Formats: sequence, C-alpha cells, structure tokens
Amino acid sequence: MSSSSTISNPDANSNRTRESKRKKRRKIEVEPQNTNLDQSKWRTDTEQQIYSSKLLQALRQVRRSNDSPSRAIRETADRVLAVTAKGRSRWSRAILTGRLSLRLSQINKKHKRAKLNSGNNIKSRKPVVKKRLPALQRKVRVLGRLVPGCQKLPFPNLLEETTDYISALEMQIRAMTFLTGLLSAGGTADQLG
Amino acid sequence: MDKDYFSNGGIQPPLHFEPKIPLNSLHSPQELNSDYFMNTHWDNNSSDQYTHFDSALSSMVSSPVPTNSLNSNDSHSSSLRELIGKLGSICNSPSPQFTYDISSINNCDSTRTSCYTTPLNSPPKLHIKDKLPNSVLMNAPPFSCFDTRSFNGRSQVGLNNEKSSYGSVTGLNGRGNLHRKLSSPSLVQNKNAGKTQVEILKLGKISGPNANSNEECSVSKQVKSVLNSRKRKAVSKGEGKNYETEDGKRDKRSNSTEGNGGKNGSVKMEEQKDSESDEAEKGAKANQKISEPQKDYIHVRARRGQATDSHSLAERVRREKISQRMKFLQDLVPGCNKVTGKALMLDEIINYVQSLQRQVKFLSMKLASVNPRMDFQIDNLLPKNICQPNGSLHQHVFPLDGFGENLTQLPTICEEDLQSIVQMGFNQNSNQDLILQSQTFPVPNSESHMKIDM
Repeated sequence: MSSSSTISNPDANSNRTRESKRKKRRKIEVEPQNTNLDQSKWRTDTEQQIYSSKLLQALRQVRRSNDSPSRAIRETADRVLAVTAKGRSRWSRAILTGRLSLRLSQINKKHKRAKLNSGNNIKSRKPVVKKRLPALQRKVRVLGRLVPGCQKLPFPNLLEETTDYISALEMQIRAMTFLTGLLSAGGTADQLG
Repeated sequence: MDKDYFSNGGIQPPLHFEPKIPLNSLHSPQELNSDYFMNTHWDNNSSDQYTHFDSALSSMVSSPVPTNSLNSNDSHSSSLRELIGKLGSICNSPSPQFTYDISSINNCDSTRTSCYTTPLNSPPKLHIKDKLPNSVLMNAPPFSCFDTRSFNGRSQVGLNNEKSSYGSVTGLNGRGNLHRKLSSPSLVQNKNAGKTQVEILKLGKISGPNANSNEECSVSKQVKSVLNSRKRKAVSKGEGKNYETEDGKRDKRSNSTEGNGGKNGSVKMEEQKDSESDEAEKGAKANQKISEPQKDYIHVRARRGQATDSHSLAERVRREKISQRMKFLQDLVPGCNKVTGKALMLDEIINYVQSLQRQVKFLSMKLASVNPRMDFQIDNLLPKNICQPNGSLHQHVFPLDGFGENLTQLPTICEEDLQSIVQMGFNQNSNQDLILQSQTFPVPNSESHMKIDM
C-alpha cells in the first residue's frame, strides 16, 4: 500500500515517495469504475489520524517555494489527501498524476484565449452572440472544473465524485485545523509560559 | 375425451379454445386436474366472459376430485379462502380469474378444499362487462392467436421444469404464457390497458399481506407476467434491449421457484412475494416509477400512461441515478434541504465546494506560518498526535516545550500575526457560511474567482 511506503521511508525525498505512490496508484487503477464510493469512511477518526500523520511527514519534506509557501503546503495537503483516498476516486488520481501538467495546460489555454480576444478586438466590433448554454449545463461545467480531474465527466459520475470530494475536503479541513491549532497553541502556550 | 372434460360440473362448452393447446402436456398429474376442476365451480359463478377461458382450463380435468384429500392442509385452504374472498371484493375483472387459475395450480391440496368453499365466499364481481370491455377481448381471443414461436419456446421451458416440481413451475409458466399472450393483443388494441394493469397491481397489493406465500407469489407473478407482456410488447417494437432482462427475470424467478417447489420454499417465496408486493404497491400508485434493481440487473418498468420505448426507459434510469446522487449531496451540503431543483442545488454545491477549498487554502497559509517551527523536533509530536487526535491541547503542551526556545528566535511571524490569521480564517469561514445561507453569492463571480485561484 502506498501508506506503508510513506511510513517506511520517512527520510526519502518527497519526489520519490510521490513517484512510488503514483506507481502503486496505477496498479490500483485496474479497479472497475463503478465502485460505490463510500463517503462515510471520511468521517472516521482513523482516517483523520492517518491523514494527519501523513501530512506531517510530507510537510517535513516540502520544498519551500519562495513565492508562495502556502500554495506549496496546500498542494502537499491535497496530495496527501489523494493518497489517503487510495486512488479509488477520480479526483484523487487526477491530483496525483498531473497537477502541474494540468496547470500548464490551463495557462496555455488562457494564453490562447488572450491572443484570440486581442485579435478580435483589433479587427472589428461585431456583435458577438455568445452561445449561452442552458443554466444547468453551465453549472455542471463549473462544478466539473472545481473538482480536480472531473472536467468532462458525465453528470451522474460527476455527482458521485463530488460527494466523495466534499467528504474528503471536510476531513482535510478538520485535520488541518487540528494541526494548526495544535502547533499554534503549542507556540502560544510556550510564549505565555 | 374432450367431452368428458366438458361434462364435469356443467361447464359451458368452450367455443374458442381447442384441445391443441399445449397445456395438454401439463395435465398428466392428477393434482393438476383437480386444480382445474376447481375452476369449474368458479365458472359457475363467473360471467360468460370468463367461461371461455375457464372452460379451457377445466378441459384439462380428467376425473372427478377425490374427496379424501379434502381435509388435508386446512391452513392452506383457509388462507386461500381469505385470498379468494379478498379477490372477490375487488372489482377487477381479469385478475381474479388469473389468480384463481394460478393459485389453483400451485396448491394442489388446498384447491380441493377450497373448491367446495368458494361458492360460499363472495364471488368475483363482474363489473368487467361494464367497465372494461377490453378485458373481454383479453379473454376472448383464442389460443391460436398466440405467437406460436415464443409460446412454444415458453411451453418448452415449462415442460423442462415439469420434472423438478411440476406443480408450481409448469403451471405458472404455462399460465404465465397464456396470460401474457392473451393480454398482449388486447393491450395493442386498447389504450386503457393501463387500467387493467393498475387493477391487477392492486390485486397484487392486496394479496401481498396474506400469510400464505405460494398463492401470493403466484398472484404477483401473474401480475408481473401481465406487466412483462406489456413491457415486452413495447420493447419489441423498439430496440428490445430490455427483452433479455425480462426473460432473464422470468427465468430467474422460475428457477428460483423450481428450486423451492419441492421443498419448503415458503421462505424464499415470501421474500420474492415481499419484493413483488412492494413492486405492486409502487405500481398501484399513479405516476410512480416502477423500477426494481435486482441483484443482477436493473429492471425497469414502463410507467403507467407513459411512453414505453427503450429510449425513455433509459432516460428514466438515468434520471433516477442523478436524483439519487443529488440526494446524497443534499445530505452532505448544509442548507440544501430547503432548496429544490437541480439548478439551485448545484448552486449550493458549487458554493460549498468553493468555500471548502478556500478554507483549505487558509489553513495551508496558517500551516505555512507554523511550518518553520515544525522542522524542529517534530518527532515528539507524531506519536501523541496519532493517539489523541481530538484530545485537548493542554496535553500537548508538554511535548512541545522543545519548541519554546526556537519560537523566540523566529523572526518571521509573531503570535499576533498568527492570531490574526486564525481570526481571518474564522471570519472568512463565517462569511462563507453567511454567504451560503443568504445565497447571494453570484455564480459568475465565483467563476472568475475560481479562475484566479486556479
């Protein structure tokens, strides 16, 4: 299991652990797609403990990026969350396999759109009739973009992924709140004492 | 030989039914004959419309019923009497007839007792003539109008099952086939077939709570077969992809009855009966979807008064999946209970997911501020952390003493900043909660916000 790999190699480079997780993830991916994602597992304390411990280990090895340490930590937290999900859900797999590539592709899209828009503005100001999708479709697209890796998923599958993702996020928030409270309280107590 | 059959009980001669009915093969066991003999008494009570059908069944009777077995299985007979009484109280035309036939086949012994008691009970009311003339058509058409190809296939199935437990299975299959075929032409002709369907379902519903499982099982199965016929007829027009599921379901049921026929199959029959009675209950209500997810496959029924082609059925299945998952989401997302409709619920869900992601971001910022401290002596933290995830913070003060010295040295963030961040996080959370509750957060803004984040 990926969890055992992280525990057995606490001093390994975070990159290496990530790669090993990815390899193990690919093996697990053979599972059928129709598995019912049980959201109650995210509510259990054990999951939170597992996540907290893994998060601590990962945070020790985080490469401090100078521009935004919070973003690095957030990404680490998301990756650890995906690892805790054991790759059963689509969003967890998407997080692990290509968060960087995803961002790059989005940036490229933005650049393309910017170029096109600038070209249009220069040429003419024709009244462009924007093709408005029905409201429901738009919202489905928005939701698809929110949940990682579920952009072009059919609606019922998207809903399933969303339920799992929401439960996982709630657990993540609980664990991180506890951790930060723990550490900050430790700091304040020492300061006061 | 046929004349002998007809002479029993003063049955009216069947005008339409010929002895070429493959049911002849089924009449070899004597008990079946006795079952059919019971029908003759019902024939006397029923109207002319039933006589045609019943007489055909009674034609199978070869000898008078022996009186020795009358006293056996009193419980069966009593339950059967109840069933018949209840059936009689319903104004459903074709259903009682069907049930009588099936139940007669299933309970060999009980029929002998009941055939003498049925005249005492209220006979089935014959409103059919007035209300549903089409039901007459259901009974009237001769067997020859059957689709011989499928019918022969079914009869063979029935024949095969005869070996194991002839009583319930073969009769059921045979009857089921008959009823199916009978009802299909009328359904083709008649728009009001749904009415009969509903009434049949009502019958199934009423028969559900009865104690004896065999009869109800057969009754509801009969109900099912009628429904199956209707569905199959509609499906065969279209792609007919549900055809196999229908057949599979029937075969599955027949196999299960086969396994239980000889033994004490009451338990399993009851289970089936429960599921079927539930189905019948659902079907009895108007405008309610009848879809029973079996263990192996999803079985969808055509809704009453709705299109029955495979496209709309698939659409219905899809819609049900979506609504089921929306219900799960409704439980997860707070404040979604008041909202109805997919669009508004999606709004809520989107807002909630965005708020959760924002929370994660703020927490990561907090952690980032705390992170430099974590480099030192984090091993002390780990075991206690795992043991008491929800423990009070006081317990963790002591192992964190090691941090104290390092804390003062850190110039990056002081406690006031941390507290402000925490408060900001909390404020943001409360703001998000308020936003969620007031539902004033517009979606396009969130889109742009999300883009910036991503």
